[in-house]
Amino acid sequence: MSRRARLAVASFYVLLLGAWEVYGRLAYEPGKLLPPPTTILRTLWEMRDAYLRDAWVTVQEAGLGLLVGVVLGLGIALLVDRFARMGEGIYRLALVLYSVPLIALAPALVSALGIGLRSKVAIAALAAFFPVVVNVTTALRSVDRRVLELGRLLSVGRWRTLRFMRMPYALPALFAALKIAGPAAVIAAMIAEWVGAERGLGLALLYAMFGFQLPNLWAILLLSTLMTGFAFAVFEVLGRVATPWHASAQRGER
Amino acid sequence: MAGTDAIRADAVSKTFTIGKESFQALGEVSLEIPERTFATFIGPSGCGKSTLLRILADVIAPTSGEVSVFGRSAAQAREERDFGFVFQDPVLLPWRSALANVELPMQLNGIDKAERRARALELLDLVGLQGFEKALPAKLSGGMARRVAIARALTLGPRVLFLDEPFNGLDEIRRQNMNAELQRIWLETRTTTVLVTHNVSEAVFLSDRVFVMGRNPGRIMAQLEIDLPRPRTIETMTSPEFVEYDRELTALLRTAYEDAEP
Repeated sequence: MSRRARLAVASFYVLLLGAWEVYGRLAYEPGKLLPPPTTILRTLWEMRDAYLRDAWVTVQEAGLGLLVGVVLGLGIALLVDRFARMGEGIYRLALVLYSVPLIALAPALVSALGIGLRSKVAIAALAAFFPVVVNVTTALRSVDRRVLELGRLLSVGRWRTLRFMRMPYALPALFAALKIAGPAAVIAAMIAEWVGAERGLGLALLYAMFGFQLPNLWAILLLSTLMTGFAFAVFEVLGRVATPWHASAQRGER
Repeated sequence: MAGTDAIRADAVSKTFTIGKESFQALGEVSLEIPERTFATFIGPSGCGKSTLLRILADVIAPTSGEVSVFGRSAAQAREERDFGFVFQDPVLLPWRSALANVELPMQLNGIDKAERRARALELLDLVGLQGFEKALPAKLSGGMARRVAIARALTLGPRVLFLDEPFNGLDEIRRQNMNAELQRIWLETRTTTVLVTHNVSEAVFLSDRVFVMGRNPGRIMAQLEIDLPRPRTIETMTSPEFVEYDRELTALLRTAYEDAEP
């Protein structure tokens, strides 16, 4: 974007926020949708201790869930790759599992695993594993045929071909998957907290909603958006650092 | 040119089957390539020259027939790392530097770091790429990437070097320069080499023996010995002998085309 265009976009947002602020100050009553942005920020500041504690709980759940999900996803992708026929079955099973709406699955998992950390990790993992399976499986499948022929000519085994020649090709796809799975894990952890939890940002959201505390609701919304955005950005940056050779890491330069 | 045969193919054929369709890429092809010879397959596209090369290198298996390399099966020879292979495109691993790409075959075969580094540097030097060791493939020109691919194919000291249209897509002058380089490398190593090309003057310039192939199905139609002194140079290319070989090979190749396109 040119500097001018950026300036135009920025002034548009400032204008929008300004209008929102004016509208909020004139027309807002408790329980209505649009409290003024300054009120939202003040609420966030006043509630910072409680909300940051809640957010930290959610981050832990999402982080662990992501870790479990990625390990699971990689495992499945490697199985699908290694055993073509059995892999097809596993792949379908994973698809079915992923297609079940989390909000429907969450109550079952919470009642099975309790309202503590374990159920949240399980649900976050379920949201995170599938993008990894799909992306890594596809990437491993689409490695240039001649690269495989090179492996054959060098008479290296399946494992070394995978490790030295195919896995690195799948790395950009893995990071693309993480950019989806990271935010998804945060959202899933919050959904899981809705169903039953002792702490967490999802639970705080629930309280704010039932209390018609719109400023609190907006404050939590802001905080959780920052969290998902951060989860995306982390993997964006890590991806660039880990695969500098890939086109996605080269901006305009060649 | 006497001496043992490096490669013998005996009634090798290949039929590809895709779904219900099957297509005979190669009829029954037999040939001998003596040790330390530079041999070339030339022919119209679709004559199975690449297929034949890949069968000799045991990249793919023939439908029928047998290949022997220094008295063993092609599969055995491949497993004993007798082959170097250069693809149509360089097929370098994009995350590895030029040096690390050349080191790859040695690394995968458990050669220790110091030794493989020294050998890779030596080979990059041989192909004229000193100073580009650290460059990633994306930063290399087409000609440089092909040099890396040739260096990589030479790392394990192959007894046979296979080149599948390695200079495809280079302009004429770069191609001539690469041919001169390739001849220099060949004169230094004297590795038995099999080249696939559709360029007549490239075939004459590089080869001791040229196999002219025709199609439907792919087969060898003629064989031509090129008896020109080496090293051959850009000047050689304008000598009457060279021009005569060029003319003769072109005529043979024309027959191959006419045969295939009634």
